[in-house]
Amino acid sequence: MSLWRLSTIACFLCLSNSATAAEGEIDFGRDIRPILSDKCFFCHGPDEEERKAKLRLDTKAEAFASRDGIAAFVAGAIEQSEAWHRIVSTDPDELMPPPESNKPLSDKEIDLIRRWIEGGADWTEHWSFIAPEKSESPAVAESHRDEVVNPIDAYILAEAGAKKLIPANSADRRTLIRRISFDLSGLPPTLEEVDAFLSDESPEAYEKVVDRLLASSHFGERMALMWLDAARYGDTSVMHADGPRDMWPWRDWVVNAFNQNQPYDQFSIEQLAGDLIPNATNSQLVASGFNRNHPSSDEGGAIAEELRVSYVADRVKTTSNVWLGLSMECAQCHDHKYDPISHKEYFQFYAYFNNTADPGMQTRKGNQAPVAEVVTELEEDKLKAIEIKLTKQEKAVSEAKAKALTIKGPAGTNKAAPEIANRLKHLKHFYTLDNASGRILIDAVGNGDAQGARAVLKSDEGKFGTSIKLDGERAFDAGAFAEIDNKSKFTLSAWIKLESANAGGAVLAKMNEAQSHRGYDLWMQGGKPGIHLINKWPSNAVKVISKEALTPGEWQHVAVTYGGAGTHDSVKIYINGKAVETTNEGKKLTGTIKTDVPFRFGGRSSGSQIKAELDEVQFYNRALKPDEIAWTMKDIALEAAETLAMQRNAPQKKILESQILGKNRDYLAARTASLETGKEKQQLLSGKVTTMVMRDNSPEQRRKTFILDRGMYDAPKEDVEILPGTPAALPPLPTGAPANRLTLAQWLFADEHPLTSRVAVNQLWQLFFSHGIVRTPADFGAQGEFPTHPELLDWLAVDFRESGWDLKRMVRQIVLSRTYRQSSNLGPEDIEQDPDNRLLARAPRYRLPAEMIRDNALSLSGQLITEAGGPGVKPYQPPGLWAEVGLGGNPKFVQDKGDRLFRRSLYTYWKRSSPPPAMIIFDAPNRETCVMQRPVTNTPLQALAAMNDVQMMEASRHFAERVLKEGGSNPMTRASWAFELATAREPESGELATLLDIYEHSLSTYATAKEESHQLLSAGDSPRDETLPAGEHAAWTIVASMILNLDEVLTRN
Amino acid sequence: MNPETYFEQESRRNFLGRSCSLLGGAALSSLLPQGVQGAAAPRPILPHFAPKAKRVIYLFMAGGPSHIDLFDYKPKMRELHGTELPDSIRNGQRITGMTSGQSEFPCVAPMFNFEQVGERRTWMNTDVLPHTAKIADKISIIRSMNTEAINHDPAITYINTGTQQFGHPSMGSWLAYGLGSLSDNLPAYVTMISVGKKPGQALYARLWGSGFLPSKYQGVQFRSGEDAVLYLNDPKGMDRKLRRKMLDGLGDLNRQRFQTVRDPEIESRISQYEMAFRMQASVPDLMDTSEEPDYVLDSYGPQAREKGSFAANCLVARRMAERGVRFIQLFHRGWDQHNNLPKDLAHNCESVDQPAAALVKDLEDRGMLEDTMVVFGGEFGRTIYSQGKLTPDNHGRDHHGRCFSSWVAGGGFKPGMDYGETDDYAYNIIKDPVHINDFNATVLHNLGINHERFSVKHLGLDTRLTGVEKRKVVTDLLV
Repeated sequence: MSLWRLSTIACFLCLSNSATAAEGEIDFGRDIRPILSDKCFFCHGPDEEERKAKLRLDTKAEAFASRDGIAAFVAGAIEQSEAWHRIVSTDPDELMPPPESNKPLSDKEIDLIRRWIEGGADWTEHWSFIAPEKSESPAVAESHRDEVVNPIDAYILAEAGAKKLIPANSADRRTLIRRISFDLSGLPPTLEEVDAFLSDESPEAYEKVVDRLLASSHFGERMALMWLDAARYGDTSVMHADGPRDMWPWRDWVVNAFNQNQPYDQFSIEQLAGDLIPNATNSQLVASGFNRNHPSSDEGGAIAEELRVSYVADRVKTTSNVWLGLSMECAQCHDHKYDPISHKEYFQFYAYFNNTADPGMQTRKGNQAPVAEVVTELEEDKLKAIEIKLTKQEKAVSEAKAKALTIKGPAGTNKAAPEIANRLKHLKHFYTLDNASGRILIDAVGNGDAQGARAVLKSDEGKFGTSIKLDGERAFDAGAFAEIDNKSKFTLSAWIKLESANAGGAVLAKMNEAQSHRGYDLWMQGGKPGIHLINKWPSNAVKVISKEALTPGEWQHVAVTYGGAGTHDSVKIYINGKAVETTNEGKKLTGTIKTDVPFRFGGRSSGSQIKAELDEVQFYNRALKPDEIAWTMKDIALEAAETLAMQRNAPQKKILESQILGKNRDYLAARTASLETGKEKQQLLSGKVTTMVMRDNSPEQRRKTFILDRGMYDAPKEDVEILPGTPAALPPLPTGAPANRLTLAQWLFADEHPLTSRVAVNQLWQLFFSHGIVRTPADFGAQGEFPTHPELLDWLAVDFRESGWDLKRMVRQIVLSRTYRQSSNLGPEDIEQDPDNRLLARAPRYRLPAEMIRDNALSLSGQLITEAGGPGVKPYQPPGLWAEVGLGGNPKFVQDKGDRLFRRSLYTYWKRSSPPPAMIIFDAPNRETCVMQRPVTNTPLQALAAMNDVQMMEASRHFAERVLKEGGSNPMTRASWAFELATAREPESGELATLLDIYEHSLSTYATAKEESHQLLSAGDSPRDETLPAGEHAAWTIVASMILNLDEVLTRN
Repeated sequence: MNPETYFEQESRRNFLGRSCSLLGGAALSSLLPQGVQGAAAPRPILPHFAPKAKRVIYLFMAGGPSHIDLFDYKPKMRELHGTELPDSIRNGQRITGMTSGQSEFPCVAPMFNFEQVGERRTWMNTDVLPHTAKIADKISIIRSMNTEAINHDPAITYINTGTQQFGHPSMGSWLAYGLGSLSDNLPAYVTMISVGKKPGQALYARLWGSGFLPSKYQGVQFRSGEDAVLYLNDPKGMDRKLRRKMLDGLGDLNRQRFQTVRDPEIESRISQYEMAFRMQASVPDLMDTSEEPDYVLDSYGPQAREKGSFAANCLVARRMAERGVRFIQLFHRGWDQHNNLPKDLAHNCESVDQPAAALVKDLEDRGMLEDTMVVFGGEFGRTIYSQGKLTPDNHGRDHHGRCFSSWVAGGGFKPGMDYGETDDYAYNIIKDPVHINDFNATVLHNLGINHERFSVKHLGLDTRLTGVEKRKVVTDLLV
């Protein structure tokens, strides 16, 4: 025996003398594996690359294997166990864990390991990877046996009994109805509901309340709160501009699914793979938006593939956290340090999500395809009404036109020349801009009449006839302008007079700035004309600008031709008919330039407006040759007027008609109205709500998956393709099933799956006991907490699966248990015996979630608008918060009005770079990542928000209004009524005295302070009932505010 | 001094957690349940060793200030002006989507005058940093800061939270969690935002968020408007006397309830409301700089009297430091000079140069610089080559993560030194690289924290501010 071993034995002896750990049976899974995992697996665990000394302690075979006669552990033989010697070594070179790991073992842990080895070193596989089985309900002590309502209670009572804890009595009915109302609906009970429960003497009184709440549509709203955190739901896209998106149809789907009690397996499968379900309904498609809730970016300099990979990684993380309770994301760069998930297995799982069709770069504003359309009934009605209006208006236009055209045009003197017809054949849009009055610009040859929000600014000094002035504010949209794409050939020309030498902006454009500037424009940059043709700026685009500038204050002609080749050479620019030299930017145009925004005179979709005069705008559907550019410079209208009337061709006739129509007020008015309605219809159709969904690429375009070295997007190991698959430590996939997300989703619900059912019931349990049975709800791996009640967890898990994943049934079962119904009051020894309430010998008591604090105030005050669903609403928030952080100070927060201020907090617009402050202060997450458990904190900022937020003060005022109207006639009955409304119990005499003291003090303050009482009563947008005396109303407002701030009112008791 | 007073009186969990650390863990640890996980676990025993600094004032220049035009100049750049960036220098560097389409990468020398300042004769842009130049001997310039990120959102998240992934606590939150507050009526971690000429790039609540730590550790934003802290002021029509009376009633009712329920959280709630009441007085007092003597106000420059300006925020930062705020972070927006750099950079410096220098001097005058770290820097630097067109008097620069410059002063940092070197193009580091997480490790070190031992278990992993890679404290920078 070597010397160092002698010294360790001495040390061991002294240790065993001082060991203080409680004696009792060692459970490997509960007592030993967590130690090995936390202290040893980092170097001696699943990660092959990091493994030291080729020793592995996470599998039984390896931990007990003898190598050269040495084994880490030898059952029952402490002396032969090398690990033991290393653990107690005094030699820093030998000691395990090594000192530099900062993971010393505590004396208690060392003692546990000793006892485990000596006791035979029993080994079991990690509990959560073994499929759960229902055990026999444990025996409960005689004294509590008749309290067992269902098996939940047997498990809880047996465990508490074993630890000598005395279970709490049942909570009184008042506490219970308030508790169950918040837990199942997120709202407080009404006084009538409290009374009904109190007076119901039937044995099923409580069950009736539970069933009423489970049937209420508020149940789905309450459950959705938890699910939205896990699903990282928000109304904005998080990264860079954090622009708006519409995912609320998905949110409404969730609420509805909970209310319909959709079985949890279907609920899950539709969210993970609704798009792949054969003949998927629109609703299933909408459900698949779960994995489109992740952050996405529009940042100009971003590298699309880097982002796309990050989206896929987010889907892997969220899916594995939410359904498997595994931190699979830890294996993105290397083998998992603690759990049996190799680097390769990570990418097998990743492959399920890697074939999706959405791109890396996403839109700054609005939804990024793939999307599903959602039509509401309301919109369908609107559309019908608009169509009827439009038909009428179009009829009026034809009548006005017929009337106007009774005037004859000029007789003309010139013979028709054949070249004229040849020229005009290709002219598709022509705006003489001579008819410049009203709000429209008439297209003399096509259907492209343009319309603006404001009247045309006319100039009598046009190039030919009159012209229009663009003042940097006005713009005119031609909804029916010809569609141009990247391969189209065309010519665009106009006479332009610039106001200043430096003029910049878009003269003519069909360009969507919010969609990477997709589209094209006739552009002016520092007085130099040019053109953009853009799929995506600048990576898929060409920009060509003249080297010559226009002279300000002079009419000059600009023409641009494009040959459809997507190159700089395909573009020619002419000034006054002469080709000019150009400078080029952008790479090459290969993608579409089609976009939904209209062709616009005077600017792009949302900016780049120009100050200039404009005349004779022409569009040809071919690229004119250099010698043909002269065509575009002619006064075509004059030419038509001078042609002999009998010899005019069709376009010439139309041009002259348009000149007449343009001067006819009745026609202009009728046409303006019909264009406006047409636009309205267009907006309704294009504004049809979409929601982002999952879609896979077609088989021909399937994206291959490779292991990314160290998880880096630009380091794929392309020698071996990785096919979709699940970790080997979990049950096998069904043979022959297609390798897609649908199979993955169905696999989660296989009978023998050890994780899904446990993770799900744990998440439900947490809703009613503040913590899960596993207190790390997103980590059921080796580093997660061991369940407080493993047999109960398994019983619930199996029961849930056997019930057909019946969610309401499971919830009902939990809340009907005696365990749920216990009092939450603390006994004298409770804190000492079970400070964290792990054994549930009492019910937990905790502050309400953020949303419930606000909803409670709205409900008590009678202001709550219970309308469900729809786009996020923007109630009060302090000014300036969005602008302070927003890209370029945008977008600005615009507070909603009316009912939208009083909707349930679930529907509050969630901007993720600046979330609603009163929610965040009360521990709501920012929803950028999956969160499965909110912390509950207690801070002064919460006190300030609950006291001073205008929403809370306005609610206090309305609460006070109710007190005056419904609370009886004297201060005593009123104080009592208010207190009972908020707490569901009557005040004690001492409490009543305090309430009255505050009331009287407040009354004496406000009785003489008229102005102050009116100030206090003016909080918020809603009007005050002026018939109520201001002084009294103000005093009760103070009392109401105090009640809303009571610990008891902020708390689920 | 009670390290937790701002946060709360003891809740049950914290009571046990902290007693554990106060008593060294031995006796009470058996009371703690096995395998306590996550952020609810007992707070770490901090500091690990004697700290040099008690607090940090972090002047964060959001958008990526050009190191080339401020702190990392070399005369050789004049010769390189207009020449194409050699491939040997670019060396396969990935560049952002904004300039990857450019066909030419002409180098641009700064369009400013530089002088060698301080005892060490270090180069500085004296056109726009005349005041910083005067404190050259008090500050140390790190010219070898580097980050892997090349776009704003990931980069600013990375340097502030130690990782590009979302959901992690910001540096200030880590410190609020680990060290607690030094004040009994102010938060441990405060942020303030000011805006240059244009707001420019976005900020995000996550930059001062608490990630997976409890939300009470998130940065509290102090603002220049009526409510310096959200919801600070009592509603109009309610005076302080009535608020006091209402709180007395509230406390009284809560205490009556405690008799029945006996939940210590109720006592904690009472003390939070009292803290809120104290903050209603202490915060306006803190923010009211009008009583500062004129010479002090003047020293912070002409904007010191404009509420919400960077200058005003610097002065408030000093007042916060005096009152015990642990981590004060000022964000100044608008440093993203893709174009119009000469003018816009000068404009930004006009707002920050004098106040930042004044802050260092003011702290020194009050004997506070030695235990207050001051940091000045952004999320990355900018490219030597021009973005867009290079004209005789105008140009832009794209993002550059391979190197950038920050300066530090006080609180355990050596004064008056230059650390790290870049090549002639200020493109690659040639000596002593400082990764942003090395830098974060160094800041923690000055506060007495070993960054490798300061971790919280999150989803099974011991998660640290400085990430999973090996990071080092830059000991050469330390006194």
